[in-house]
Amino acid sequence: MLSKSIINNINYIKRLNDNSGDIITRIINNKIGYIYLESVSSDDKVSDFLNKSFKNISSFRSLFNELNNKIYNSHMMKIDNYTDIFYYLASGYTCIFVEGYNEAILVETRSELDRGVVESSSEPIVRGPKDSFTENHPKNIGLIRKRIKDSNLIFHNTIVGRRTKTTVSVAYIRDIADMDSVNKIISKLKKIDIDSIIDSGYIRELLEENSKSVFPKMISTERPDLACTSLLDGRIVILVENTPFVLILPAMLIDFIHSTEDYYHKPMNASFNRLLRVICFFITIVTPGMYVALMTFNPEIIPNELLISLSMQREGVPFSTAIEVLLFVIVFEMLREADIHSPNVSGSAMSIVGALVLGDAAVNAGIVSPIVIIIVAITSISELVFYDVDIINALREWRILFIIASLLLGLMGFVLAGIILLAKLVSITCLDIPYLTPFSPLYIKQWSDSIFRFPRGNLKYRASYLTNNIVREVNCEEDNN
Amino acid sequence: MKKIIISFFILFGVCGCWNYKELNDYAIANGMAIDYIDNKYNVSFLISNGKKIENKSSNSQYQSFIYSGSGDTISDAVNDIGLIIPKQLYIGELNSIVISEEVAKNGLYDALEYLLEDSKSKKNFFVVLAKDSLAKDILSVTTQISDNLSESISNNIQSSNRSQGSIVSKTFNDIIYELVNDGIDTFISSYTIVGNKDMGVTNDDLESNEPKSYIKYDNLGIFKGDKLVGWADSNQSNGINIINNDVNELYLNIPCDDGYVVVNTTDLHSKKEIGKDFVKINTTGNAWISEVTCSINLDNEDNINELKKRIDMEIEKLINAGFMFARENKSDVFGFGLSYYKNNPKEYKSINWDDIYSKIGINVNVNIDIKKSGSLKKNIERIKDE
Repeated sequence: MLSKSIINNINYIKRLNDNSGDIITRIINNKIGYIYLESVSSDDKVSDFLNKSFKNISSFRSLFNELNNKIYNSHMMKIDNYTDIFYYLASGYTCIFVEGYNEAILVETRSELDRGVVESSSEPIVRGPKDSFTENHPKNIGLIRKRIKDSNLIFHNTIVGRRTKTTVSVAYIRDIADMDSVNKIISKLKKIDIDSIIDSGYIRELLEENSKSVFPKMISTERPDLACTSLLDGRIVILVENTPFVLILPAMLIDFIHSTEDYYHKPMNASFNRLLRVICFFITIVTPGMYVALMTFNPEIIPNELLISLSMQREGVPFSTAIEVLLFVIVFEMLREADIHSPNVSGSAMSIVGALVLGDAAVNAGIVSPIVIIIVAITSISELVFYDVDIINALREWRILFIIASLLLGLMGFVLAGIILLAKLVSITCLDIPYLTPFSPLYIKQWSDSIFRFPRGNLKYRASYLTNNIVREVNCEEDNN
Repeated sequence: MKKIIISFFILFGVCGCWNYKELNDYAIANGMAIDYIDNKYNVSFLISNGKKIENKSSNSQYQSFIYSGSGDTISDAVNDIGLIIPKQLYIGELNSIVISEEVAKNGLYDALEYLLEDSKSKKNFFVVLAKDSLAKDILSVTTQISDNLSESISNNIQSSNRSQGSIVSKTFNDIIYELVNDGIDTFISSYTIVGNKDMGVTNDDLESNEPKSYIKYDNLGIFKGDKLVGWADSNQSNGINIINNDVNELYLNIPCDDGYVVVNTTDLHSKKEIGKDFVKINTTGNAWISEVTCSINLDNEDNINELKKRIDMEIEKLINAGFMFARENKSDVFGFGLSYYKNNPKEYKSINWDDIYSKIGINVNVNIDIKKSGSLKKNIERIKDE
């Protein structure tokens, strides 16, 4: 319970935070006192809204009510105990005490500690909206709201994290999304007992039912347009405070082959791009393993001319084919990892080292045969076609498994690894939807928007495995009946 | 999960690296030659010189090497080669094999058995005969255009099979099919060395722009069972190939007054009706005039009709020559017996086809269409005269 004395209240709060340097307090005429954290609050707002408001106060008799009515701010609430007071202060509120009252007024004076809406850096596109989510939670919600001006778009807030007290919003469209799934996710979120949530990755890990699989079951994106199309498909979007990455679920394998950009291009071109990604999906997993299998076990499949040339390229290389391939697959992953984390200044030095030293010089030094460089190059290029980091990492792990299987058993091992991959993919489910939907189980109708993107006229229905409200266009309701 | 990991290790670990072999440990054989010398098989392999292929500009080395070994059986001979070459012999990529006349006369079964059993080798390489020389010598001739002789043979067969009437492309598979089936006999193209045999095997020959020696197609070898029984000459070869529908282009010189009319007959197609006493052969096709060296007037329809008759007769002559030659040697290279068996399987068993075949007659009916009488319709001299 709050004390009636300003000094007591302020001292209590200061003690609560061990007199941290960013606590600012002021007491006016021994009647009004306020406290805020200058690190998260805007001094301008405090001066503008509070100090100006205090000037308008005519009588000190019913001071509390006067303040309550006259402060220029719409974000206001009353509080009468200490429990949540520090949460609000840390969220950028200013707390106003009045002498003689055991209630306090909280006024929002948050300073914008973010970088503003900028272009997406992790998922750049050629055509289409270029804005991206930021670390600011209300702004993120705003970026979705301004795209879907529908009263059925719901944001359900939950506070997760004992210490961080992070707001997690579950967004869905009430009459499209599957409410069972929504309730399931909300109840799961409420059950989470963890001390901190720093990024949406934490939430994802806690939500994923079977996290043994390397394949991602949620799309993690910073593109508001992708979040909106997903919402309109009947998916659920989870926005986490302080991170630009929102989670979209459920996600099937096919969703990682799609890009929002596909819907902004002409259908034929978009279909071509998707087909390209499907091909790359296989190339990037299979190529090095296939190479090892053919080179060390089944050379009879390689055409004659190529065989002689390959055998000559291997001449003088000290490592066995599989070690050679594994070595360079790993070297490429090192390069990629180093490239992601290196500052722009050292970027050019890195590319010189990567391209010249590890490519050309390694061949000349006889460490690696030229064909292996080509194999690794093809593999890596097809890997980078995907925009989602999680799928790229998943593919990488399977690629190495294919190499090892091929190393041990040749084409037979290669096929076995393929069977294991297929079995693994089929057994993954996300919110009870199998991972290979719409291929297994089969949803022929949904094929209009799977590997190929049909023209808009053919996309009148939403996927029936995501939502019961499958009619996307009004005019086709009549046809349906 | 534990079970999966354990089974994974058992599955992959227990079998070790079964059949593991690095590609550069193989000596890749491109061609093979089988000779029969002093009652022993002599097998030679043509091994590509990868270093030469990698570094095309270096002139100092041969494009390929020949390794030979001998033994009582083909396997013996191949094992003998293993003592010579530093790498393991790999015959999965054979382009063609050359079989000497002597081996063919002794019978193909023994010679081809090894390749048929070997699980590594592809069965679609070409088989040719060596005429008037050892098979090994054919394989040793250096070639200018292709990387090695074996490749040159397979390219040559593929490119000229349809356009040359006297060549037949027989892969290993075809020959095995014809050997194991009753009522059909095989026939194989042959190569011979033209020019100086000893010059051909040295690199000096590669440095001149006119090869001193080269290999050239010769006649077809006709088999009875697995044994070579005769060589068909050019006309007979053409006839056999026409009956077997294996000719696409055939140039015929039709004599007229003081020169020739040369026609290129295309799309030759023979329909066969096989009876016990005689075989009806209906051959159709188109003819294009390609060269006129006499003063025939091709605008005249009578002349064209006359020409057509002459072409028909010429082709009929070829067919008769081919058929007669095969029948004389009792070699059913046309597969008449097999076709007869397919139509009358029950009856075939009760008769002796060999007897029937030796007495069978043919009834040839040729109908060639003259499609285009050349672009000039007359020869150059006649244009000048006018």
